[in-house]
Amino acid sequence: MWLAVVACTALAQDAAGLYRAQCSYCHGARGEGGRGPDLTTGRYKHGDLFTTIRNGVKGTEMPAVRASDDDVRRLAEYVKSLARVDSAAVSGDPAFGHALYEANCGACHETVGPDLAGVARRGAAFVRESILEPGKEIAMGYRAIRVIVKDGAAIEGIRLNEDDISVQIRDTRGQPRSLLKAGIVEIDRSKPSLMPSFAGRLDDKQIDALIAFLRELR
Amino acid sequence: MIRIALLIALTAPAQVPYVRLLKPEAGDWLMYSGNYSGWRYSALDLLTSANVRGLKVKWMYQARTQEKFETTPLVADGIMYLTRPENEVFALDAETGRTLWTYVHRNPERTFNCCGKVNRGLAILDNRLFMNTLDMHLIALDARSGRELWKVKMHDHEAAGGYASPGAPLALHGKVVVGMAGGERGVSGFLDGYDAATGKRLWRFNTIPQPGEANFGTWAGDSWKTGGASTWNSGAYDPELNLVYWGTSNPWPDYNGDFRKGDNLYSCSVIALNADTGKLAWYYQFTPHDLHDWDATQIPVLVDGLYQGKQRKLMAWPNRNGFYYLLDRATGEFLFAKNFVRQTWVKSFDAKGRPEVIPGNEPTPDGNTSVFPGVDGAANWMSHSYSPSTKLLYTFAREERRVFTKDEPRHPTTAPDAAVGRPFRRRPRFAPEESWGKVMAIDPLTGDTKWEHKVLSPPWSGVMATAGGLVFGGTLEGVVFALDARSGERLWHFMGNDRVYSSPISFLSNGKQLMSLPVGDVLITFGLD
Repeated sequence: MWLAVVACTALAQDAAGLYRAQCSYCHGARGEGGRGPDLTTGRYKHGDLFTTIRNGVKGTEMPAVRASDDDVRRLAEYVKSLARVDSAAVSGDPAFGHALYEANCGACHETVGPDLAGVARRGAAFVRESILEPGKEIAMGYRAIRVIVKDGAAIEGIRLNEDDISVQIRDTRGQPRSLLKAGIVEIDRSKPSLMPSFAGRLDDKQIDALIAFLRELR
Repeated sequence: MIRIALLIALTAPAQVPYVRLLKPEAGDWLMYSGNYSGWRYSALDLLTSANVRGLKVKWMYQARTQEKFETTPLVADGIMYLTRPENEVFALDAETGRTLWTYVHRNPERTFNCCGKVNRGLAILDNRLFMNTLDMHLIALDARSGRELWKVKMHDHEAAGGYASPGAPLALHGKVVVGMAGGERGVSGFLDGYDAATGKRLWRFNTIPQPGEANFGTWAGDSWKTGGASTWNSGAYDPELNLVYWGTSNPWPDYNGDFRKGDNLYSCSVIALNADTGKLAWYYQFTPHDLHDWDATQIPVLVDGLYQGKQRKLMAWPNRNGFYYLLDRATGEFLFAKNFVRQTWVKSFDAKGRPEVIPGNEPTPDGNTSVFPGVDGAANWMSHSYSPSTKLLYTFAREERRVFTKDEPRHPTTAPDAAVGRPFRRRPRFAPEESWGKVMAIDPLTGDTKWEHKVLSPPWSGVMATAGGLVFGGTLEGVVFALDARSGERLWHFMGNDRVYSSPISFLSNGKQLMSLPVGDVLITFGLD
């Protein structure tokens, strides 16, 4: 009985679940990358995905995934799906969206925020959610941090790196800074994202236009 | 001339006879934990709170490996012996780090290690070095040349879900005690004793009682056949009692107890075995019917002290399950347990040390995020340290939030195309501030915390106390540190900038005290000018 249960349930693992369990820790919840490479680009440095997942990549941190060949095949398909371009029609006007981008987004996303080229591949729903609830899911490497140093000055930005002695920050002007903790009196991590919510500031039509523009930023 | 050379070779003194292991000289580091009591303590006092700020890199050994570098080197008479992943042995000049000889054991392409193709170190006895391997061999080398003296297979490494042996062996009087791994792969655990001269197996203790043995029947149905309970770290030894102490791993499947109802002896336990026969003297199970992978594979720390008015032989044990335990190591009597990190699973302990478990802490199919400590535990395999000068126990504890997911078990097999291996662990990222590490100084006789030194991330480094009043260790970010052993104040640090997955050692070279610790894939040795 035990073995029968085992056999059935092994098949019940869905590909998304396999990805979450095996890959997301390094490659990000949506394949956006982090400790491991971005999987949403559709370009795979080591060639065949099945072989890469099955055997790992020697000389790197990428291990061989412990799963059946069937599961590895499903994982490979799922990883490919992360790079799939969302081709569903959007109603917005890209030129209007471009103007909105320049007015609301570019200043940060071209200095301290993530590069938005290719972001629309993840779908209109994801972009909409990111605009309305930017703190819901933070891409690895973009967690907000605010420190107050001994002379009372506050430095806000994203945390690039940290240890017990120092913290590295890209400030809101895009400058990388390294600060010794001995000179810091307070570290505030309570705000997950630097990006403000645009709920109530952009209406549906404007968001559609932004999405249409971002579609063009391949 | 050949005859003379042969004569010299035959009459050359054994390098590290057993008497040296019984009372290691302060300038050497002769076994994984430094001494049989598992103290990881250096009796050297040349590095002190007054001069440690002058500590500098003296030399580096570049291991050039992508695997985690978890070795603890040995140092005997000016020569350092260490392992590099997977199973390579290097002898270095301890003064310069220059290589004297190397030995390579090649494992098959597929090995069945849990968490990297790692090895944690060697044992030495007389002129022999001992290394166990990922494909389940035990090898003896000539310490002077690296020449292989014998090699024995401990077990079929492809049996069940796969066996491996990554921990450091323990050399005793004429024998070597060796453990094995595979608790997440449905193996059947054991601890072995081998003749140090020949490699002949002298005894095997099954960590899951077999039919006809005492305590058989604590596993439902046939689950005992694949119950795990491995012995993947190293142990301790009391020469007066002639008892070997060793911790055991989780029962299998790790996070699903449905098929293995019962206490699942001797998983998540400490076993005390007669060193000559391998017979069980006593056991204590820290976590009956474990569901959280809370291995009890920490190094036992043996201390003597006055407990409730009576001088006793004791065993101090900060456990992966979040509790610090004090046991009588002669009898196995439970004396007390006290949590040293946040814990959510125990309401109380009865007089025999059995925990009353709080419901709601079990892994769930969707993932239980409210259990503390986390899956990697409050302590893991990294060494604790005990200082006889401060009479404090030092541990590098993990405060961590993680997810416990109940996965369906899979039949253990090493077939290449089968769904094998550990159940999938979901490892979502929690905010950094939800997890951290802390070096703690604990009074071993009371469990009271004397001080804590907090660090950014849950660690994978052990600690080492010294007679100079220091505690050394390293963080996951690569900050190598020295703390004041009495206050926890950080006195010195070095930015190693890569993960530390090992525990420090200290030794003498040319009359100066050095300290070594692997950082990333580099073994860094520090000293004063």
